[in-house]
Amino acid sequence: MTERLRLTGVTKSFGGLSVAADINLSLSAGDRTALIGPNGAGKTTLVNLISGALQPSAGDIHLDGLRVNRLDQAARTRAGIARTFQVSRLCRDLTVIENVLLPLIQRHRAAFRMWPASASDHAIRAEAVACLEPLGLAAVAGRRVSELAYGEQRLVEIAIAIALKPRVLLLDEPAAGVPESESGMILDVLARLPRELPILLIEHDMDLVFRFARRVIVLVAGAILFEGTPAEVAANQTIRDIYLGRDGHGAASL
Amino acid sequence: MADLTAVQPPLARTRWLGPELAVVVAGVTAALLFPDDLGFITRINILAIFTLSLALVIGQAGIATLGQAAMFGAGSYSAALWAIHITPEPLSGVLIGALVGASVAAASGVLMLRTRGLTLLMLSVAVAQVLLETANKAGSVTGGDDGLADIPVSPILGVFAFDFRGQVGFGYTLAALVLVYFCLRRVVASPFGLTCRGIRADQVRMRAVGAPVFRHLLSVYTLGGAVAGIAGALSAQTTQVVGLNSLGFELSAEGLVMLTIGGVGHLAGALLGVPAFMIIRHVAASINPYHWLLVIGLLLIVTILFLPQGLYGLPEKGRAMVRRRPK
Repeated sequence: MTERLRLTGVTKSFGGLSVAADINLSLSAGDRTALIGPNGAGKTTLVNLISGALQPSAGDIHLDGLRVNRLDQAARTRAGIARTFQVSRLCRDLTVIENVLLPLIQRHRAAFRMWPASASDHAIRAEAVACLEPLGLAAVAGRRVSELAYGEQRLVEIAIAIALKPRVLLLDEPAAGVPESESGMILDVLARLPRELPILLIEHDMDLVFRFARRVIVLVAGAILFEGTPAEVAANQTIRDIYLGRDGHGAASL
Repeated sequence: MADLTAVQPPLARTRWLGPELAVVVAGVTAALLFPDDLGFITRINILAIFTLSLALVIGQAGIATLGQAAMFGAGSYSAALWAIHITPEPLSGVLIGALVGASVAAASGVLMLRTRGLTLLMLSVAVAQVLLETANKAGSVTGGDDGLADIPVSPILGVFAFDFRGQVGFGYTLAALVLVYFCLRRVVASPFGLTCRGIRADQVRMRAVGAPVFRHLLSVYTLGGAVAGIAGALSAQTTQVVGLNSLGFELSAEGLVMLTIGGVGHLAGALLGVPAFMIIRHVAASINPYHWLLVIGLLLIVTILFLPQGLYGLPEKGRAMVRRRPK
C-alpha cells in the first residue's frame, strides 16, 4: 500500500495555546480513517493544517512524498488534498452544477480562459453532470444551492470534493446538521466513494464512525491519545471515560 | 444523462446576438427621436461603457471599489496626450486608453486586492485621489486645473470626420459600446467569468477548489481597467477636452449609483441604469437645478429597498407580484 499523506511532528500553537501537538499521521491508498475527539480537541484545526488554511508552527506535511508545507491552500488543493467543510461553504447564489463546475474548471486549467469554447465547455459540463449523478443530484443541477435542503447541500460539498479527483480526501463532519432521517443517505454516498481514495473522516456520530472506519484516531487537547481499530477504541476504558461519555456508549450524548 | 441545455449559463451558448442588437436598436431609436441631443446620447454611451467595467469588477467579481474613475481618467488623459503629441488618429488613441487603464488597474490592484471590504473600498478611493492630485500638480503635462482642450481628432478610419452635430461621435461611441458589451458578455459566460462569481460568493470555498484567488481578482480588475480606459479615451475624443473631473470621486460614485439602479449582478444592469439615471437627472435638473440630487437619492433608496436586482430585476419582480395577487 502506497503512502499518500504523512504528517510528522505537526504542531500548531496560538500564543501559548497549543491546538495541535506533535501530530504524526499517515494515510495510504484505500485507508478509511476516522478522527474523533471531544469538542475543541483540534479536529477541524488539523484539517485546516493539512489543507493549508493554517500553517503549522513546526513539523512537516508530505503528499506523495513531496513536502507541501510551503504551498498555500489553493496550491495544496491542486496538488491533491481535498476537504469539505463542517458548515457548508457553497456558492449559494450559484446553481448546483455551477458549484461543481468551479473545481472542474480549475482542474482542467480553464480558469483563465476568458472566452467560451463550446467543445471544451461541453466536456467540462458533461463531467460535472457525471459527478452529480451518482449522488442523485442531477435532477437539481440547475437549482440554486440556496433552494436546496441542507442534506442535499452536504452532498454538493462531497460532489465538489470528488470533482477535484483528489489524492487524499478530508471530510469534516459530512453529516453535521443533517437530520437523522437523511444521514443514512450520506453514509451510502461515503460507502460508494472510490475505494483506493484515502479518507480522513471527522465525525461525531459514533454509528457512522464504526460503520465507516477501519482505523480510528482519538484526538484530545490537540494530541493523539489513541489509535486503533474501532473495536479497540470501543473497548478502551480511558476513551470511554474521556470521550464516549458517562453512560459509556456515546453517540446519543454527543 | 441530464438535460444539459436546461442549465443556465455560464458555459452556455452566447452566439445569440439579441442583447447586442437591442443596444443598437435602442441607441439608433434615441438618436432618431432626439437628433438635437446627440451629445447627451453620446455621453450615455460612454458612461455605459464605464459602468460596464463596474458591472464586471463589482457585479461579477465582488471587488468593492469607489475608485473606478482612476482608470477612466487615466484613459482620458493618455488618449488626449497621444492625440496632441503623437497622432490624432482616434482608434490608436482608444487602444492607448485601454492599455493605460489596464496598467493603472494592474499596478494599483497589486496593492489593493489583497485587502477586502472597507479597507479595499478606502484604498480604491485613495488611488483615484492620488492620481487626481498628480494630474493637478503636473500642470505642464496635463494642464493642471484647466485640463487639456482642443484635442485634435482625425477622421475615423480616415473617412468619418467628427462633425459639429455629433453624428459621427454618436455612431463611434455606440459601436464601441456594442463591441465592449459583446466581448464582456462572452467573458461573463466563460470559465473565467464563472470563477469570478465563485470568488464573489466565497473566497474560502474557492481556495478549497484550488483557485488562485488573488490572480483572478487582479486579472478581472485589470480587464475592468482596460474597459474604463476605453470609456475615458472616447470621452476625450468626442468632447475634445479632458479635465480633472475625469479622475474625480463623483464619477466613481455616479457609476456605482447607475449600476445599482440598473442591477449590480448583470451586465445589462449597466445598460439600463445609465440611461435611466441620465434621463432622470436631466429632467429633474431642468425642473429644479438645485434639488435634482434629491430625486436621484430617493430613486436610489427606492431601488435598494424594493428592487434589489435593480431595473434588470423589474420583470421578474412584476411576475412575482402578479403570481401573488390571485391568492
